[in-house]
Amino acid sequence: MLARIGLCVLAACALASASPAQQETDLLDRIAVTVGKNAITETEVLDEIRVTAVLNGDPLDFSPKARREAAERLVDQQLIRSDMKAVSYPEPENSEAERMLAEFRQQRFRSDGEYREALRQHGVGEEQLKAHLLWQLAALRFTDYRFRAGVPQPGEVLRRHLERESKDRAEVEAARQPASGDGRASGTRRDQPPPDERALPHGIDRQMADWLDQARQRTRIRFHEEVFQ
Amino acid sequence: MPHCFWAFFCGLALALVLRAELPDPRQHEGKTVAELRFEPDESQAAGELPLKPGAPFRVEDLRAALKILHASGRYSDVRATGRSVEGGVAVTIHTEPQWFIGRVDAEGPLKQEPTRGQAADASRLELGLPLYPDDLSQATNRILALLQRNGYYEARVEPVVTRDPAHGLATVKFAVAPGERARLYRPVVASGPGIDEDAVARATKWKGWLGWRQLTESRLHNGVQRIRNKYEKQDRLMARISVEGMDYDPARRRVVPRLAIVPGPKVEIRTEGADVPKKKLKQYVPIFIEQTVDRDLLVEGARNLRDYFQAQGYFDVEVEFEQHQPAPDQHDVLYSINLGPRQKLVHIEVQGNRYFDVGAIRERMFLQPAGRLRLRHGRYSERFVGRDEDAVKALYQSNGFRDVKVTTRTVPNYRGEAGDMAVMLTIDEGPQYLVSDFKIGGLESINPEEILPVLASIEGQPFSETNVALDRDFILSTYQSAGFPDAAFDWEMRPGSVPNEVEVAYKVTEGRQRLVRDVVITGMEITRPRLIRPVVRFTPGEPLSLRKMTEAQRGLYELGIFDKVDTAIRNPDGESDRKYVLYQIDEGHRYHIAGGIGAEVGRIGGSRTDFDAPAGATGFSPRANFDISRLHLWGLGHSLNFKSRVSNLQRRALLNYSAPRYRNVEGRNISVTALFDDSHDVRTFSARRWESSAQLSQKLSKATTMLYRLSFRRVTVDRNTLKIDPLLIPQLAQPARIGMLSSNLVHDRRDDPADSHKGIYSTVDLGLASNWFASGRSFARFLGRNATYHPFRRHFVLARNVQFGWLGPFRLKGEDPVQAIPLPERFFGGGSTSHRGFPDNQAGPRDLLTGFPLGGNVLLFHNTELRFPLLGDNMDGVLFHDMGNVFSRPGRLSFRVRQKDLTDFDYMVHAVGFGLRYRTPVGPIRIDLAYSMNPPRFIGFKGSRQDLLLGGGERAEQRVSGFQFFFSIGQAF
Repeated sequence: MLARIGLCVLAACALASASPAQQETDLLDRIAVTVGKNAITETEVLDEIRVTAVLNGDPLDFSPKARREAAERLVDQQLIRSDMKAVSYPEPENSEAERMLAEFRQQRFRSDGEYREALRQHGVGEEQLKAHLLWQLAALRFTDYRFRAGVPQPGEVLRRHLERESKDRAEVEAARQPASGDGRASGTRRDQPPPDERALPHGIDRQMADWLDQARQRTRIRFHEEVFQ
Repeated sequence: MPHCFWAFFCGLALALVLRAELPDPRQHEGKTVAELRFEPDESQAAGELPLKPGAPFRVEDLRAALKILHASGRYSDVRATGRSVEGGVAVTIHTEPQWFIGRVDAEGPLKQEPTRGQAADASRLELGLPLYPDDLSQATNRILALLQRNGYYEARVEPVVTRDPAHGLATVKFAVAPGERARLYRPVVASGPGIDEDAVARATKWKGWLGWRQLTESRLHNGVQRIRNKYEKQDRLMARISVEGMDYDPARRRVVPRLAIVPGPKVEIRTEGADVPKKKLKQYVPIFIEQTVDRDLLVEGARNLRDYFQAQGYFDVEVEFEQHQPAPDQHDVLYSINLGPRQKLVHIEVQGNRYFDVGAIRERMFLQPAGRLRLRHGRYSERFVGRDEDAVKALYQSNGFRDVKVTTRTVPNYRGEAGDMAVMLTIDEGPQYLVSDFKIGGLESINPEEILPVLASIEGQPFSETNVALDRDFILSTYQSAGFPDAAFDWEMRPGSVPNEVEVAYKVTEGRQRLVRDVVITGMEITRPRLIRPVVRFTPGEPLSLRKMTEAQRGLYELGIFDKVDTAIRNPDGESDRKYVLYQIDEGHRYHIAGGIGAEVGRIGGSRTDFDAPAGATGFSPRANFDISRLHLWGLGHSLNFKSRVSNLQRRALLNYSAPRYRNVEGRNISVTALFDDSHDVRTFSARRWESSAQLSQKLSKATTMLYRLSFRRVTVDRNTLKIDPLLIPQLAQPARIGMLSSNLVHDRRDDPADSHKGIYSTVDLGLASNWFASGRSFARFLGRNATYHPFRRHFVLARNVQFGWLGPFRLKGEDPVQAIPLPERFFGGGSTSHRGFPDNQAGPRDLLTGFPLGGNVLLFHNTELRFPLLGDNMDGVLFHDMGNVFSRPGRLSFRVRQKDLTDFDYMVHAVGFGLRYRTPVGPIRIDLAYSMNPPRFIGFKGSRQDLLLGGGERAEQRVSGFQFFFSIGQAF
């Protein structure tokens, strides 16, 4: 009985795949989410699922829930990309992504064949994977740059130079003054301030999450629900 | 069998669904794009897309194409389908047009709380932005929430969308059926033992004489505030009152507010060492506003109290506080104030300044030495010292002195005087950083010559971030005016080759230029396009300038016929180059009605019929006025105005038709006026005037206006009110017909016409009455005025005003012999705006028999005022000197200060006085007391009109009182 049912299902699938509709029209791609004036297409969502599955070693899951989660990740990426455009920061080189990819291959797969098979099974090209790793690296670097205290913002470099110049001048002037009577050595630099909590990794994550929340509130984000059904 | 059927069916459905939901464009990767179609036809967009017929199909190109189309903002949805065909793949791109928000209105019987405008605003649909499917439901819910907050619990709101396909705009009208407004009911207090609910309900004042009042948002808020005030009066400053919910009873249509009240402890704030009025404590200790007591607020309170006492001269005051909680329900705060000696800030010295003079520095400082009348102890507090140091530092830093140091030192007992204090502000300027090299890149579409001469950070100029910010604002605003709304500015600097020099480089990223596609104006119900056209001057294809859009918006407001003008760009974020400029206007009300009552007090009294008090007696004149205007006639901004005024000195009715912007010329106005006036403002007679006039005014520049007027009037004098020698009546009091052509030049460069502090104001009025203009009398008239205002020592103003007038009767060939100018046309003067040594219109020649003023043919007045601060920020004082008079004829104009005899009035009368000015939003309220040093003496007549005619009565020497007072609104000149 079960075998007959299985045969019926297979027959139906075969019929569907061989139906003339395929020869007629296929959906190639469509807008899945809009983030401000930027759009994320449905195939990008699917690619995100594929690449993430390869990187995590998970099976492919195209369920509506998984697609929605992938779209949410892409929305975050889009918000970060928009912010990245606004400021200049040290962008990663292609070679760094290649190095990461090599490390990934070495850690996850026993042979090149196994690696290639995994890519084929997930429908992911190596360039796609490399681009994804490059993006991860860029996002990491940008986040670090943006939220870690002590990293100079644009325009700060000269400000520091000028401040140093002023301080030097003050020190020269101070050296000309007679030594103070309180026993302290002149020109003693103050102790370094305690490390800023913002610089700690968990602090950066928290700031990043807060910033993403705010950016989502500021930006008009629209999910085309028909894509996630 | 059924199992197999269902299995087959489910399998088929699953396969179809999976295939339909998961696009797989990679199956076509590398094939040739045999065909590229758009559904509907949007083939003009194809040129911008990377996907091209005949080229290999690439998934990345397809994605990019969809993104480009979406980014244009023209489509709400974009998808692509494909099919394999011979020779490759045929791609079809399907688009859904995007609609944009056009006019948004609310319709329905809403008058107030909320108004229709408030309901439309609550929708938060913004002109020009894309209209998404869920926007309407969200907007409707927002309007419903607003209505509910105002008691309309059964309201219905229905959005009606009308689409304008030509411009892609969707007009949204919310049809609002508010239903009956619910009434408030006795609130339920949800928490807190021992709370008297009756007292709470009474405090809200939600119940009036006629029962429970209707619910409005403001009434609910005010009720809660009143409960808070009630607790505050019981010293429960930390009381928390909140509305937890509103329970609506649809059967009774009433709402029961659920209140949560936490009274909190009684907070008593006391001071020792100095008395502080409770009002001041409330003002300075922020726990009253914040409704909580914590250390930070008390510290701030201590600082505020310190500043308060320092402002009063207790510069060494010390304020400390301590808190106690003697009982759970009691919280005491005690401020201990040690005032120290009272001092006076007598001197501020600025030292070390080389680049800026003392004046430039002092004008940025709050600290101020003591004055004789105002700030008797000077202005000093530690907060002001800090502010002044920061202000001076900012001044230097913005001019390149990056290392400037500003310190302040106080010197007690200055120059050995106990209680006197001086402040020494010492500036260590340090080196000035200069720009040694300047570069600007990225200027491609705009001629650098337009930008470079205005920049502040070019070679040789001081370097500061402030200057860079100014340059950035100027560059971006120039670009935005030229249609580059996305222009971006970046800059960098490097140390120069020598110390204290920097190299500055600006980089401009222009972005894409946006052009005007067309202008769409909505909301013109009766307004004619020809009225709008000269104001909103955009031509398709010209650069889209935000500045020009704003100027046009201001121009529309200046027409004075629109309540609201909104402007926006359609699809502002879309990548399309050509944009629609949108204007949404709300025409104002077409009728304006105003009424008012007032009164005048002054030397305006005295009987109309007897001859007592020719120099005026103190009188009171109540008045009422009523105005009605029909605005925006014919849709051209014209108006018809009726104005009337009735008092016991004057009856006046005026009908005026005004056509501003005649023939669409900016500043050219035409008006036609009909006037009836029956006035008794001159003590000598009552005159009736019927007048019609036509006037053309043209604004020549921002400060200069020219007026041309043709007037025709008939003037009669009521003989029963005449108080002059009967022999003069045929000469001066005959009915007269005057036709006059006049022109008036006004030059106004005052900073504030209602209360001028600097500037100049001049007028020249030239008129000619002749039989050419159907006039019964021929004369020329000149009246000129010039006033100047000179500020000095920050708050002082020296103001002066001179006024000269001349009337010259003449006779043209063929005309009757020269006739006297009738009484109502002669110059009368004296009073609050011309010469305060006289009551109103009491200057000049007088009737030798009765002593009443006759007016004259020449007038000359000169006023000088010293305006100075007196008390606080709103009370000023004025010392003034007025001189001048009305003279009988030009040859009799004299600067002589003594009256020759009782028949001589052609001399210069001088008056001095003191005045008070209290500043209000409508202008200063004015009280002037004047003393005339040489008021005129004259022979007056005591008796009735009968006595005058029959030679009876009594003649006696009289004089205009030396003391005069005036009370009015507005400066004298």
